[in-house]
Amino acid sequence: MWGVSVIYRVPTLLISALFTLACALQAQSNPSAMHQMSVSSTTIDGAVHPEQIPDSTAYRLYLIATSEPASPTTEQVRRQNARLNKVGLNDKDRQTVASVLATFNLKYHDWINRYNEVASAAWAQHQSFDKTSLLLERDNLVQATRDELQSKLSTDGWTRFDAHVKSEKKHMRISVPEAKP
Amino acid sequence: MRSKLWLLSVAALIFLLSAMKASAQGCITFQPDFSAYTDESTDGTNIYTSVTIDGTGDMIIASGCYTPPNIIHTASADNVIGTTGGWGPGDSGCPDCYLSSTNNQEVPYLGQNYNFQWSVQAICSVAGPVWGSGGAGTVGVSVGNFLNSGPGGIYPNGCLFKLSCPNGTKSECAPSSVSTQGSDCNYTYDHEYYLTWTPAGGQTDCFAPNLGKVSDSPVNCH
Repeated sequence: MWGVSVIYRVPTLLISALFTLACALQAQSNPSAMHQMSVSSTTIDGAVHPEQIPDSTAYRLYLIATSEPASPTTEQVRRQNARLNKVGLNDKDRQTVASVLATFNLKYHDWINRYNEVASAAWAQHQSFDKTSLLLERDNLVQATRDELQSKLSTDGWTRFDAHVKSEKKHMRISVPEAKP
Repeated sequence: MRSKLWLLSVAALIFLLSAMKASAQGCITFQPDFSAYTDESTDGTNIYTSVTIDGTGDMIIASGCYTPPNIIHTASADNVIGTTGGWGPGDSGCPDCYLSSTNNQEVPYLGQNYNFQWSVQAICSVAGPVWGSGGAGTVGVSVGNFLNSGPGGIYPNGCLFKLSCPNGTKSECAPSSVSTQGSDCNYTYDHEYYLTWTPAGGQTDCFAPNLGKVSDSPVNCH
């Protein structure tokens, strides 16, 4: 009698164990699954396809890299002057650009801090957040800076500046979503 | 009865294997939205390089998936000119945070070219790299020696300097002539400096960083 009971009990236990394990895995309760994260994007090289780098992205990257704080160190001033040398601006236009970029630098870092406060809070709560409107704010800041430069620089200075930023696309790379089949 | 139980065992095993496969696929996806920019410049004394990474991403965790705590994403830039530089500390935050980091380096301009190598990377503390890019090339300075040839050029009452490279040297970037005005016309020579950038396997680009010096002594072109 005892032998018959064992014969039936072993497969029953095995089935229970396997189903439990399968259900647990189905619920993705295994942290090692994180290592299987799927990443989908492709990269546009501006040296090959500058026309595929949007002007707004080119301006954003140039403004970030070239801007320095409102009270820059001697080293930061030297570095910024060297960068602006390539644009071919006169002294007055160069000073205007440095001043506008300092304001951009401050506002951009403020914007990043606000973005990350929202993103961190949402992540902690396992919730999504309105990323689109925040990124629109960023793009509006870049556009406003571009407009301010256009209005404050001499005609020749703005022409040179705009042409230079667009020519810098060859030094830029951006990730874009992969096309879905 | 016994054979049915074993059949159920096999079915459960198949379910288990399919669940294991599912656990390794599609549970978590990351859509990077990053950009990178490199810049080279000079003021005639130093050569400056900068590498910037800027952006964010969308991490989507499928319903029911486990989310490990304390996932950190870091965006950082590697900037090496000659033997100077390396990876910067980068910028870190939550997986959906916006990250921006610029790595600046500078080396003295001593008349030679420098190799410039750069990389950018966004890394997830749990899953590893989620986006990256990189490149290499050569940064240098080209010099043109121009001889004053008298009145002319684009400026009223200005003067024209014509390229005149001593000892058969050649300039990689200098045009055949430059115009100047004012007291610069009292000098015999004008030395113009150009920043050069040659990406690996590519053609040399010349930038005129507005660096001219008048003198009564010539310099070799290069």
